[in-house]
Amino acid sequence: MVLSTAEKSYIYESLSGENTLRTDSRKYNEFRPLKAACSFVPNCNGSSRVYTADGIECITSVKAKVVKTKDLANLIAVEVDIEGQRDNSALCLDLSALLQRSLVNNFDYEILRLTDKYYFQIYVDVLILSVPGDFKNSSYTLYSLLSLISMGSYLALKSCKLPLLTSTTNDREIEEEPSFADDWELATDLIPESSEFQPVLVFVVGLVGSNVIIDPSLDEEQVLENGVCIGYSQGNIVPPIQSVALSTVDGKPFDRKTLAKATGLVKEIGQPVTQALDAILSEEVDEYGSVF
Amino acid sequence: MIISISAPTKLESSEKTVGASIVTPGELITDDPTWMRGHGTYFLNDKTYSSVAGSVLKVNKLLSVVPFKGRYSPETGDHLVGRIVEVGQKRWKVDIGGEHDAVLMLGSVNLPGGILRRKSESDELQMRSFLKEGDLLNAEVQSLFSDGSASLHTRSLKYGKLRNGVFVRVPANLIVRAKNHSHNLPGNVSVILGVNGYCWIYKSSSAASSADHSASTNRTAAEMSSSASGKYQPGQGSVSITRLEQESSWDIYSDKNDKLSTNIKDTISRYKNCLLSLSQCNIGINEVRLVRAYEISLGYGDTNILVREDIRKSIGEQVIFQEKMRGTG
Repeated sequence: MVLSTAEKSYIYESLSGENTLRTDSRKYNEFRPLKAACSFVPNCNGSSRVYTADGIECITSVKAKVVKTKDLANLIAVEVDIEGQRDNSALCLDLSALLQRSLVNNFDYEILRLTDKYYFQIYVDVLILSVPGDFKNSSYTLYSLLSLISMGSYLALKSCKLPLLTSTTNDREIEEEPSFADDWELATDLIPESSEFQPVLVFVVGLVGSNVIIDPSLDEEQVLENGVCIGYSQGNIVPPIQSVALSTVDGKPFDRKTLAKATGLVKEIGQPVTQALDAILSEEVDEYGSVF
Repeated sequence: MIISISAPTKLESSEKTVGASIVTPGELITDDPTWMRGHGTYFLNDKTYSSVAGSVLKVNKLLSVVPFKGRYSPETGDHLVGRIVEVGQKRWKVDIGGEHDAVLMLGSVNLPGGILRRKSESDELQMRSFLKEGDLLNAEVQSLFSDGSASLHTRSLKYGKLRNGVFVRVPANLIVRAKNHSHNLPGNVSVILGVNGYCWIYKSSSAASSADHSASTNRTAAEMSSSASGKYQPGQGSVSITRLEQESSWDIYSDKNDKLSTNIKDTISRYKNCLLSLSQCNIGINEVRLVRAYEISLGYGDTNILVREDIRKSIGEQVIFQEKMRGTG
């Protein structure tokens, strides 16, 4: 969908004005309502499903495998698949690489360690369902999915369960392959509750004039002057901080002040978003149970 | 509230006995071969099955299934809002949310310069300066082609390019067909509820509201003057051709918005949220309900709160409740 000139100027003037009016009457720091559930794929260690009211849906699964390696950077593999896009399309590759890099850079490898030689390797697979039908002849891009994807991977990683390790870990030099309990009832969390570690969340912030808005809608993306994605983990801004092309129209440069505003915004919303996601983790999954 | 993430709502298994007139695709409707088969059905081995999910409609011996959901299918005379997707040879392709894009011929638009003007080759060359890709317009379905696609026209001053507002899309089946689909609403805002589910909420043009007015005052003034002087001048009291010419100047294809105050923009986004609330609750949309939803929403205070799903739901419930109380439901 391409907006008409009049619509564009209406949205642009509202957004760049003094008090950032958004056409859907959200505040500048407000997300669109989301729905989420986790641990619903039976054959994965962790899984999540996050979707928006307009039907864009992100399903994430996490699988773990025991590998013998010294190379810690290869322990996390991310793959993003988008319905209707070839899996080697620039969009899929970029999103996979961005998420992988942000996870690799901000990961606590201690939780993946079994012995000095053996580690868990984590595969994060993301599937985006029901992309807007008019995407092909539109002037927005789908890089804004990044924030949805990162919320999905956050939930999937946090809900990830691993079998209980039964072999000894006292002697970490030991050659022996680790062995696990058969009983899934004994499974432990990938990220134990005692751990401070939180998977990274990546937020997409739109820049327009000297204003910043979180979670730009598809209409808004087409009038934004620039977009940046900013990582957030445990109360801090973490890499990546980079600009993303939210529309196919040429952007405008932005100054350091606006960028500082954007990071400030992410810092401000990071805590409530983490809380909202953690609340979902503690909910029971019963969506299908009542139907079947 | 910065973010609301909720768990998916559980599907409620309704205890109500569903009438037998609701069918799903592939369901046997009848094995009586005497029925005539209409839309939404297919015929196999002397039996009639439904091809869509919907309710069975029987008219005399004609059996058809009216689908619950689906793309909009145009009918002659429908008032639509559409978006230009392609500029072609003497015609525009318009997205109207139907199975096919509609066609708008260069000959069926008002060209700048009034009605007496003929279209020329230079008009064909500068079609993009009238309407280009992405532009929104409201139009009427002039005729239908044999494949069900529509041909539109904008040969009236109430049709044409849209400005000063926002676009909202709701399912086409929710729009209640009415005589008139453009309404002036309280708060100095107008709405066009396109039959195809595309809606346009915009600032009421001061000209439009005064035009209604002036037409009537013109007439009374004319009557008064004619009764007073006993003279009658041709064209008195009716819309003069000169006004048509004035209004169909290049202004009608302008892309520039008028000056819009923060207040108006707030009201427009309030109406947008009200429309979406009605759509979310699956309530048929007409002017009366939209105004009621607006009035209810005012009770919630700040426009910002209407983003919340539970608020939208309760607005929908209250609209229905009010209708029941007033006995118009």
